[in-house]
Amino acid sequence: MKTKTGSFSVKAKNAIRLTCFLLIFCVLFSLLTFIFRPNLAEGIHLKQYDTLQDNSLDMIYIGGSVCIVSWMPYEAWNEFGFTSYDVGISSLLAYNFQPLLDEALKTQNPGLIVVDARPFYYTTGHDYEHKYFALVLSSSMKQNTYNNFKVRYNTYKYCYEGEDVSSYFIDMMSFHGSWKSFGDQVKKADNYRKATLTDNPDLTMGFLFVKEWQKIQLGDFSSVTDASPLSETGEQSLLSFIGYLREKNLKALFVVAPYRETEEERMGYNSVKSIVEENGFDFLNANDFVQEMGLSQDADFYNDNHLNVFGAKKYTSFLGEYLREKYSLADHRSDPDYSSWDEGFKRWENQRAAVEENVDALMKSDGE
Amino acid sequence: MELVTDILRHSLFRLTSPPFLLFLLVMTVVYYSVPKKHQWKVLLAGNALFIGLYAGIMSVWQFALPLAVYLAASLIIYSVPIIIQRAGAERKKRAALIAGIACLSLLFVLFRLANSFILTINGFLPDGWRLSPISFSWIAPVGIAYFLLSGIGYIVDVYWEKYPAERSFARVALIAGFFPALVSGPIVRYDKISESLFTPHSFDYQKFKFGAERVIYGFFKKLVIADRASAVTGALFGNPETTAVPYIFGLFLFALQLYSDFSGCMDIMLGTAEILQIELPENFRRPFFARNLSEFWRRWHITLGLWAKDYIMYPLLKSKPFFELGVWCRKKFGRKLGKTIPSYVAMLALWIIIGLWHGGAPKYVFSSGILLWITIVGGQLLQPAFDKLSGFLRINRKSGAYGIFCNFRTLCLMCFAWLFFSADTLTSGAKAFIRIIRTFPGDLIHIGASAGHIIAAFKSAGYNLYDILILMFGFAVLLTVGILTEKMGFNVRQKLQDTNIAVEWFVLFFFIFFVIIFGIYGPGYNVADFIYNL
Amino acid sequence: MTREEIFMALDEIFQDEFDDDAIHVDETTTADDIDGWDSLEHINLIVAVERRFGMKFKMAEVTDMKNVGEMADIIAERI
Repeated sequence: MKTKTGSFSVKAKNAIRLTCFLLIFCVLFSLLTFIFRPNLAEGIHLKQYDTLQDNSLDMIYIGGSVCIVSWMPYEAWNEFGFTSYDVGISSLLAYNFQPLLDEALKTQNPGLIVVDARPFYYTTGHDYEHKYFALVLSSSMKQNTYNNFKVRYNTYKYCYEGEDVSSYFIDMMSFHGSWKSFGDQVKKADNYRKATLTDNPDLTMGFLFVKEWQKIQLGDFSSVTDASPLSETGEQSLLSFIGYLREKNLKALFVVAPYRETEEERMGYNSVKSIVEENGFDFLNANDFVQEMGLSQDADFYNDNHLNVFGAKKYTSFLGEYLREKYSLADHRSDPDYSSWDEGFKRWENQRAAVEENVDALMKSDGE
Repeated sequence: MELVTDILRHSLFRLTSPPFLLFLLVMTVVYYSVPKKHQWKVLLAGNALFIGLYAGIMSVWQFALPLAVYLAASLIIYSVPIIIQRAGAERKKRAALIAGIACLSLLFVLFRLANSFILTINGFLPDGWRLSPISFSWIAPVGIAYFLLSGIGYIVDVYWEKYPAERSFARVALIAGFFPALVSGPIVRYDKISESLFTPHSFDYQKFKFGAERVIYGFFKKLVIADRASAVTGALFGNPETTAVPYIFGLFLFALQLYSDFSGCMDIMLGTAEILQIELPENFRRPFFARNLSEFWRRWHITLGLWAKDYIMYPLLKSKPFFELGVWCRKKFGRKLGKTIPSYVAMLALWIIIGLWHGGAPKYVFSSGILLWITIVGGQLLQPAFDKLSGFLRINRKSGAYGIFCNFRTLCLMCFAWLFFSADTLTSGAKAFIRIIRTFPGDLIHIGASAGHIIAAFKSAGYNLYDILILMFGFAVLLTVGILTEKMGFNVRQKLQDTNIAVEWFVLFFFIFFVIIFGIYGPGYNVADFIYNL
Repeated sequence: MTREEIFMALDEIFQDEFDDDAIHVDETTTADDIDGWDSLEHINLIVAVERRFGMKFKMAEVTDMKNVGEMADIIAERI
């Protein structure tokens, strides 16, 4: 049988070759992307969120790094029987709250959202770190969803500084530089892969343990009542997020967790407070309750911005009580459907004890 | 839709970016889907789209102005040859020719040299009288320098009655702004490129594959080698205290960088044209295998050399003034010099023009012009002396070792020229040169310290040992491909295909992912910068 | 001038240009046949031929000529 070049069988062969080549490329590319993505702990926590039983959460705490190191969902379970989750990522940008929450609400129906209010004030100065963590967020969320695209698009819209636009949408472009720590990347990718295995001992309900400590200086600006206007981006994202919360018929408490506040920042938060309260939601600046919480500026923080593992416990106790009184969150401790939380708490508590020991040692070695 | 235009508003394009690859994909699909007689119109649309995307669609001005310049220049290039053809009298033809060349050159001077000129004279003007440099960065996409030479060549060819003028404005516009040749050349000949531009093409898998492989190779050269080396050379040259040995190392690295960048760009563009089955002329032919500087310029930026020969050298030497000069020299200095002196004078004019074309600043006129003329002419004048010397030293001119010596000598001469080319100004280049001479002996004595400085330059660019290995690997690839092609006459892509498909695909995937992983591109986030990971 | 005479004159010119008395050109001689006949020598040759025969080549012809035979054709036409 004679075959000429350009005849159907040759064309078909070439078409098959090309298709196979492209398929192999896509597979290899996806594999490499999976390995090179940051696969940070926060990203793993977002992935673990999907392993929870549907509609078992009563509260979601959403925000930046403050949220994930301050509120201890398992501690809240232990003390109050609340089911909650820290849905957050470091340097979460104000306009990414909505798509992140929207994605979370696909599998859960909490009645209350606690919102880390600080990112709505810090909306300027989108530096390297903010962009990086925004990309960590979008690489950790479920890919190929509208919310994922929205996070990437928002990040591009507000952070673009002349680099290649495609780097906001193609993760390999941003993270291929991780070849320098390829060994670590493989380990992290493996952790990410194992994250959703059943009985994962690292399930923390989104809480991030940090083994650090630092003495700081707290201020007291509870008497400051002036408000300074938010940036345009901040106000827009806040209003848009509030609109979303209202649309979804959710209750929301906007909180500023304790940290080294400045007067300027307090005035900014006062603006957030007035906008939030005007729109029928609640606001709490926990810096006003540092005494009640029994927080010590020498022992309960790990840097100017964050509570450490000891401070987080006090904060969780305080806020948990506040939420119980104000919102009557349910106590599921005797409910057999929620027994996994008991087991989870025991495992998590061991982790916490180890971290507390660590931080304790740091404090002692400093001659504290 | 608003999302799409919002994203498009920023400049989408660099040659080595995913949007360009997407553009290429779309162009290929559309090109081979439309009826064959409309294929060239797709290319014309591609030109406009390419210019627009490259310039950026942030505001109307960003892309409208380069497109307007493209249109205006195409109009000149279209109409002048037709006027020349129609004109009866020689006088009129000549006038049209001069007007055409003048208009195009004015366009070029205005945009390309304006800034350099302003910066240079600003150095002489007192404060308060200084002019502000005009921002013509948006004109870059139109590749005015290459556009200009190709266009002038066409006008002159019609004046010389080499072939008749093209009657269709659309066709002239397509040739003038053919997007693969727009950004960095090659300088095309209108008659040659028309042969493939306007003939219909059916999709050819082989050509598509070879073209794509060439594009990949170009990406490898640019992203892995050139962009990696540039941070190091920048650190070495930019530091006013860099001493002799590190600086010389930097110059050799710069040779690698410049070659990889320029020829890599050519590979991407010629590969693109190959996919579309349009023939573009080669611009590089393994230049570092040249044995002398004249040969180097027949292997480096080939189309520029050919253009200068056809449109500067030949017309000058054939002209009356040079004829008279030749006659006068013959009388005065004898037959031999009667021939060489006019050609040296013509060469001087040629190299000055080439230097000016590279950029208006003195450093370009010198490093890409006069200096090269001095070296080429010097080499030719000293040839008899070299012959005597190698006879005296009983050097076998045909040996491989001598060949390598010649290659190395040529490389050194070009590095010397590139010292001035890479410096900020002619003066800073001269200062660097003096610094090299002064510190050379010391550097040889303290060779360890010099090596230390080189390593420090790598570190300051954020590179580690692996980056050095990658550069060495890149160099090894270039050298291997060069030797295979030059010395053994291999067609590397053909040879690769002739092995089995597994080997071919392994090599392709290897290079593709090597570029993706080790290429210097993207925001460059280093995970290690970010703390508090568990 | 006969074709033979043209070729005799051309021989002289070539021998002069390339400093080699053994050179003889015919209808089919091309640049590949003579050592050193590169692009620079080519234009020098053209100028020398123009001077010798008192005629001018058109620029288009300078690069289009395929061999010395064609050159002779043009010379014959113009003188």
